[in-house]
Amino acid sequence: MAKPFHRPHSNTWWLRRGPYRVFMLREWSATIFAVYTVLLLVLVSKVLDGPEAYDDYLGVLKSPLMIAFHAVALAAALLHTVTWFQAVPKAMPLRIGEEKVPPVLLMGGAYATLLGASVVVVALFLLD
Amino acid sequence: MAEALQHDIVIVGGGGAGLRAVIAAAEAYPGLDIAMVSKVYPMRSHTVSAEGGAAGVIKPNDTLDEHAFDTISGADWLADQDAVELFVREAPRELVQLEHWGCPWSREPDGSVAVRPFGGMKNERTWFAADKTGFHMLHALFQTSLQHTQVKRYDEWFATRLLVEDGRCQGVVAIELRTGQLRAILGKAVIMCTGGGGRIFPFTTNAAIKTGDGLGMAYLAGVPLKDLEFVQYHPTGLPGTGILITEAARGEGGILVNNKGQRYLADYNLGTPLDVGDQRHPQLRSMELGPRDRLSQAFMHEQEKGNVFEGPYGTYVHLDVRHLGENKIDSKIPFVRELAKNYAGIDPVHQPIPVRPVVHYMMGGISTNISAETVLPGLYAAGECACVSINGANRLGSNSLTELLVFGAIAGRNAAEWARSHPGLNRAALERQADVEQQRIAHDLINKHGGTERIATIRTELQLAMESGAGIYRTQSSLQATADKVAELKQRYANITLDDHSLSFNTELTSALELEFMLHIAEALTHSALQRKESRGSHQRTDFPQRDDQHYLRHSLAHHTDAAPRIDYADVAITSWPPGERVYGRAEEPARTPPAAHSGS
Amino acid sequence: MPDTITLELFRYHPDRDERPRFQAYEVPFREDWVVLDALNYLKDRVDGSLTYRWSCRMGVCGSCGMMVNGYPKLTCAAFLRDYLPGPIRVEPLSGFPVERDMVVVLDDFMQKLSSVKPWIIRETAAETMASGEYRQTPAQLAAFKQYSMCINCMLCYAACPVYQHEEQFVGPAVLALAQRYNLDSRDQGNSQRYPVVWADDGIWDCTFVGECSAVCPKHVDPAGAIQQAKIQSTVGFMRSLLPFGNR
Repeated sequence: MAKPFHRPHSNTWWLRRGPYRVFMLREWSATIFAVYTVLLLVLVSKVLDGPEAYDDYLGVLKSPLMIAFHAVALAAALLHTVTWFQAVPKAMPLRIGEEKVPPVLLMGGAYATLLGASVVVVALFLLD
Repeated sequence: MAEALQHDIVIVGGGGAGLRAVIAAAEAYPGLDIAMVSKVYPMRSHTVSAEGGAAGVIKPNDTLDEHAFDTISGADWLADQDAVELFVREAPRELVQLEHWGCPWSREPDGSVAVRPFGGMKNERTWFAADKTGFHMLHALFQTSLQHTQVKRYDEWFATRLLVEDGRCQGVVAIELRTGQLRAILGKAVIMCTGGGGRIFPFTTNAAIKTGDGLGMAYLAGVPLKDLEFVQYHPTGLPGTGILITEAARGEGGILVNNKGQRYLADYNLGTPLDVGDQRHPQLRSMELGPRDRLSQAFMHEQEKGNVFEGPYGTYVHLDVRHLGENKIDSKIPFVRELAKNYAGIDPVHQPIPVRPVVHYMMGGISTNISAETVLPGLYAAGECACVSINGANRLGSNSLTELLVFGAIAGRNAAEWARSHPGLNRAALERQADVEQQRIAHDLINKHGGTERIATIRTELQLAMESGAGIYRTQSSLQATADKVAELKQRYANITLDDHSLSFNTELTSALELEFMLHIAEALTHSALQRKESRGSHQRTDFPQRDDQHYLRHSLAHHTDAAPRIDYADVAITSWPPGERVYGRAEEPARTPPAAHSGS
Repeated sequence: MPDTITLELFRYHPDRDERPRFQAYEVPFREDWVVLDALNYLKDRVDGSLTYRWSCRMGVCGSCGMMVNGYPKLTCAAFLRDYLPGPIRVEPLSGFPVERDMVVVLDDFMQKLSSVKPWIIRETAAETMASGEYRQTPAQLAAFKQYSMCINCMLCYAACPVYQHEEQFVGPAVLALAQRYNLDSRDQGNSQRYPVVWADDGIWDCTFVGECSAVCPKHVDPAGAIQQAKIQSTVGFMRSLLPFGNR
């Protein structure tokens, strides 16, 4: 009598195809943000501890290892930004009548918003 | 043999007609126990491939009378006019019903359903869902049917034989593909909705599953096959694959052009071409919007004159839709573009599409009356496998999708009534019959060793014989040669060999069973064609080029015998439209006489 | 152009084989042949026991989905010329139990299909046909049309790593179909679908790999449908927290 065959799953399934690898990279890079968040929380607590503690901590952050880590975190953040913005037209499609607003416009809008926000943040620093 | 399975109604086939019948029966009597037996999952059925649309009068400029006249004249007067009148009356309601079930019909700006012109029509009346109408109808029907939990589906069960006892049809024998086990599936009524058998021809739009199983089963059970000699060639199939390019391409304004750049249909009494930029193009019942039989025949004449292109898969002409522009092509006929790009390697926005006539539809089928009943009590039929007949000698494009709704629903309701009033089943006798069938299949096929004929060899020879002798143009000698060949192939079938002697999902076994049905219907078709010594609609005899109403305004009925099929005839029902000339491309008033002025000839 | 090309076919017979194996066949190479043509050639002439599903060979019946060189494809649309010089490895769709050779078990998919109530649900009892069609503007039609194009070929399930690992995931095609009915202006049954669609095994199992949309031969974009449903589900959840938030 028929017995269907269940093919085993391999743990390396995600190595098989480019999009799977990008997906796994995105999922794993979330751990980098966890570490980054901890560093940020420590920074806040050092601020509360006073100027000396803050300066000491800045010293730690200037170590080559820490700079390298932040560079990686920035790259991961950019990866998430790109993939997140790619999702915008899928998750929140806009229609005007029968016509779909082109995905490029929606993504462009997202990037424009990001750029605007970045300008504001940088301006706040420079004006300080 | 395992114990028989028992239901109130057994519906064989899960395409549009079968699903419509299921829903109709379930709605008529929610307590009924309904079985649906299908050799493929319902959403795989060939209804899925229909493209252009479904005809039904809905716009104020259109009338039921005009739909009836278009259908009857398109049928070259071989349609039963009482059936056509019922059909056109029920059509709008069925199409609205499907709208309520979620079919995504294309719309007018005000939200009402849009219609498009189709060949042989006096008015626009084809409802459409872009150019995937059959796909959307099938999925809407299937998904709607899922809410009827009293329906037991036998998906991927292959029916092999009708069970007839005490003069009544009481079920089928079917093979469960997964296990290979054969079971009797009993029902007080059986509805055949198994589609046509276009696969008996080599070059066809029909899917692989369209092997005429239901026709074969009914035929072998003693039910006659009506008007089987009428085979529709669709004028626009892709060379090589036979993939259909919908008539909607012409309905939207596409034109047919030969290798001299001429719109050759003008030479075949189909009207005068208007410039594609003219507001009045395309003209209804004219030129590219003539009926399919006439257009396919025109191609054959062009071929004789050498006015066609030569390609690796035979000759072809051009279907040009470039003037419609990319936007219209993408909104109205996107599937045409997809298919042409994938399978012909051209983009219709920029290049004309190569097309040639291709076997598309069987007007004939299991003989039924307008209640979808066959002569075998308890057996009903609907859809392409049935012949009511509304299609006569040539079906109008977009009548078939509507037909499967109208007559699927009628079959479902009437079978439900029958099942309620005929409770008893002769279970023991039916199980004995099923045992005999199991032994036949085991002995002749599964356990058979030593044959030499491959299935594909016989099938290919059959298809080529059908094409060469029973194609668009036929003669006594070509048909006789085909009949002889089919008889020979039937003999050789006894010497068939199978590589696969196992039970689980044995598709070689089902191919063999399909081939047997194909041989039977090919034989019935050829003999029906041999004896119809006239030319009418899609049946063109070069040795008898005229229509002969005196002798042949009659339906042929092919009966199975141990020798060659026996062909006899039945009257055509004429109610209001006496036989007249088929006029396309010029003004004409349908002669309509008061009802009952004419009787059957 | 080569004369032939090699196909490596996944073979499994449930009555005889403990485990699958691959069998290599050489078939003629033809410029316009698809993988399905090659399989038909083999079945007709070389090995009648080769088992696979097919029907329309024009990309609309959804029967002939298989893994072609590890990628889910409709074999009627996978041209041999795109895999030169070969060999071409053909396997049954991943993620599904194998019945025989290329034939997979569909039971799970069929059961999930029904679970989202893929039919028009109206609040009031059935309207009579006499009142004619429901009005639906072209814009209202366009809102769901894309999600109505699914041919149930299940390539998206074969591409979805979540479904491969969590069988209870309702999956891309079925969730897109639920969204198709939820977005249809004629339907009033959203709230009846939420228990399945918004459940943990529904949209929230999706980690947005996005491959379902990439492999879809009909551009249905199930990934997009699921992300939209996630937003609706979140909004629904937030509303349920408000005292007067329930719709």
